[in-house]
Amino acid sequence: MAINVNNIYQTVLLILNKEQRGYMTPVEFNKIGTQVQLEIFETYFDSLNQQIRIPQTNTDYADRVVSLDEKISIFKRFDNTVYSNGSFSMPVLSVPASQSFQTTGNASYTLTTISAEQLAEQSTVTLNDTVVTNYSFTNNVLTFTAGSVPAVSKPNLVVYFGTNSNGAGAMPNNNAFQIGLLNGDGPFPIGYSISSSTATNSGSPTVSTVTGPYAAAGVNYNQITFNVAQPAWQTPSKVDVIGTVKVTSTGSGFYKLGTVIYSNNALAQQEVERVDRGNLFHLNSSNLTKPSTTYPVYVLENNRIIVYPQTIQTGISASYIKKPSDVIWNFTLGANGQYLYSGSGSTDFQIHSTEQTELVLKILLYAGVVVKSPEIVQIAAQQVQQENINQKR
Amino acid sequence: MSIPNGGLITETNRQYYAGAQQFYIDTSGGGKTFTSTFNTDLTFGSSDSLNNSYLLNNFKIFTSPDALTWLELTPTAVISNTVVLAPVAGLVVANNQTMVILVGDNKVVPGMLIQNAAGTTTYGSVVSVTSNTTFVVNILVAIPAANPGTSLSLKSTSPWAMTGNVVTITSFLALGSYVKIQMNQSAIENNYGGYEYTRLVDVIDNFLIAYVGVGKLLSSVKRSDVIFHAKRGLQEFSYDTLRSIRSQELTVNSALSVIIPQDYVNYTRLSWIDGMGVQHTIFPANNLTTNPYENPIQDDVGTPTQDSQDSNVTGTSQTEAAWAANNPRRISGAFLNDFDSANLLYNSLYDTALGQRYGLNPETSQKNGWFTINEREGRFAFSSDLAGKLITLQYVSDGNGYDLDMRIPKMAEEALYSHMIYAILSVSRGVQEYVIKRFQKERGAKLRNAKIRLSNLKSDQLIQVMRGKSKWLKY
Repeated sequence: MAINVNNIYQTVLLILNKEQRGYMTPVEFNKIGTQVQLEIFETYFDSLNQQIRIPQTNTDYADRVVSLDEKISIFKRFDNTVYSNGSFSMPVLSVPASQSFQTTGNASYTLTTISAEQLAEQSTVTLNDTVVTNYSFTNNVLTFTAGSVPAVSKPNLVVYFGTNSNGAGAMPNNNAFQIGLLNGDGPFPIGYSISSSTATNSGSPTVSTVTGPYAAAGVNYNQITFNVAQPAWQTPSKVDVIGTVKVTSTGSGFYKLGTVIYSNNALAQQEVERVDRGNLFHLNSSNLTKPSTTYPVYVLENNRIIVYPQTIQTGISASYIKKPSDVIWNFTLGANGQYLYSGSGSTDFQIHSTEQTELVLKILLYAGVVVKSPEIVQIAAQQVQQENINQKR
Repeated sequence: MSIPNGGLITETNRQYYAGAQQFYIDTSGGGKTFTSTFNTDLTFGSSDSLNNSYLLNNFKIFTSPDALTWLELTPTAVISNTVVLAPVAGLVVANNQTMVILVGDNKVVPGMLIQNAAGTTTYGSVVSVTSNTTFVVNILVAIPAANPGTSLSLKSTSPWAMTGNVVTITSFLALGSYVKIQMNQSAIENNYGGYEYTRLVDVIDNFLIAYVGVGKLLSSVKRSDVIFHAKRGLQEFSYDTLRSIRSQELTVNSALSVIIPQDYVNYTRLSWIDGMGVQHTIFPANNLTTNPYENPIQDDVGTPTQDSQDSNVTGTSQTEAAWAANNPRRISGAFLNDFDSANLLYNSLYDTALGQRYGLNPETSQKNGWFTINEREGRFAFSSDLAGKLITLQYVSDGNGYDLDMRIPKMAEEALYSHMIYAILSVSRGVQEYVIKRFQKERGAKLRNAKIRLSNLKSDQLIQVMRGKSKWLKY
């Protein structure tokens, strides 16, 4: 259902480039695309409010309320909330979104399967299953702070067995817990996974300690001890030493809260009514309307759901609208320095496919501003207006 | 017809009549969960019958190997207990250590207490079960070394628990055995006849579904407003439309009073019960006497006196004392030794004289006694001839006292919806007066209909009553 980001970009460029009006870079397109998608998305709710008051035809495909609901349904979710300190969080993902990648030695990594909104709400970063804190997110880019950048992962390193130069004698071949890696390969941080691509691995060995460099038999090497005994990593075995960064987020990309539901195992579910503080005071003051587990209410404050009676501390779920993810037209550089579309790392437009024409027109509207072409702006504005009139007539 | 199949009835015949729901164990093990589908929500205090909270349960759990012989599941039940041999070397005091026994035992489950055979020493508890021979245990008192190992008695102190109508049985359940949730008798009886009613929470949900929404008369109403008007409606209906079903059987003590019931709103009838169980209406004393609301002590010039807290000093009521001491026969003019029974075969000679005592006030010429309501003390007070008598107090509540009360007879459900529509429309802004009037009339009509329905006027009963008109009273 999503709209392919490359199709839109190519269409925009096609129209824009006709008669050599100008060019829109991928960065400009990504920002404008995100902006336009949000603009269209945010009109849904006001349009629904208008349409719901107008009698609709009960004919397939012609009911505007149903059409709008179909467009919004792409972003509808239902998830649980998390209780802490007397209130519940906004809905979080029951199955966390996660993305893993090997360390490259770079400070920054672009996340493609977790949106910036999700990352901002609730996220955890681990390096080799150990939680780290020295990082920051800028939109959907993870950047480790200077001095905390993870070491690069290295594949196909040659295993070395020889004589230990520290006087401890010869390091035996086929040592179950130790190998040597030639100088320059390492040292590696503790916790990096280490596996042989040429011999049998036992369990999931990781680096426990690294010592060296040592000199033996005319070569320098680092000695690595790992946590699980390995059967036969003899010379000329090769090993991969891999660091893994994993970003996990239970953030839901929350945008609008819908219905809040209270359920306690097999007991009947109850809708939790939204009230404000003033109402809550009066509701609490009356015996007839005082919130109970049968008729609970909630107050929404500081992005938290405060449920009354406060004895309710589990079982609160909520329907909500998720915010569309930022649009990314990802690229690689071609031989001549040109931008080549890369599907990997790109994020399509998430709005309904029927919005494609409006999407192109609105992007052109902004593109006209970017390339300083009043003609484009005027034509696009007229088309957008005409479409709006048609949709709401 | 015994299986619920999508209709309004959700209980099987067995659930309704016997209060039992049975489960078959198709895979052995502990920690199994069973979901109750009774109309009545389960309440849970403890699974240990020796624990005082056990009395909070409104159900019991039974197990059976064949669904014929049932045994209640308590900490002393066979399946909650097992005996194993400790390792020969014993176990030292430590948490999360592994205990390996020689002979496998499937009945060991997490949470079991580890005791000596006599049950006098508790060594620790089972944390988790790795296999039927290997367990992770916390040991608080060292288990001594012995050959072939100290005999240990393992028992579940809480063999089952319940939250949200889901029963979790921690004890080991064998393949092919059965589990039964058995409601207590009072819970079963509370559910009998429940189909006659619709729960108020369902009325509220139905109302929101059917009457509130875009394109409907009520486009938007807060749920709390609907709840308020539904509860108010139930209160009003309780006073004059619904059948009065609340009553208490009491004995009038020597102080000639009984306490007003907790959920009392108004009485419908007080009666004393004779030896044949027939009730005789006790009448209010009305203007004969009264129960003063305050009895201030006065000084010599008639001014009320105050105590050290500046409040009036009050004494006992002389009016009440005099009324309690009187002989009501002096007011009613009743004979001394007439019979207190409705048994027609025991009429006395005096009966022939009844009706021949001219000059009595008919309003007070009755022998059933009088009652007053003492608002000062929150009691019903009775005349002295009712001392020691068995009485029944029939009264109305407001339908909001207990969760079980919050239901409406189906005969009056439509009237309650109409009441709620009218009540909400009449306080809503911008609703035309003619619309309000329309629903006011509809409410009145449906309420009248409900009253007629609930009056239980049956044609055969009317015929029976009307047979009396053909009886010759005078020759």
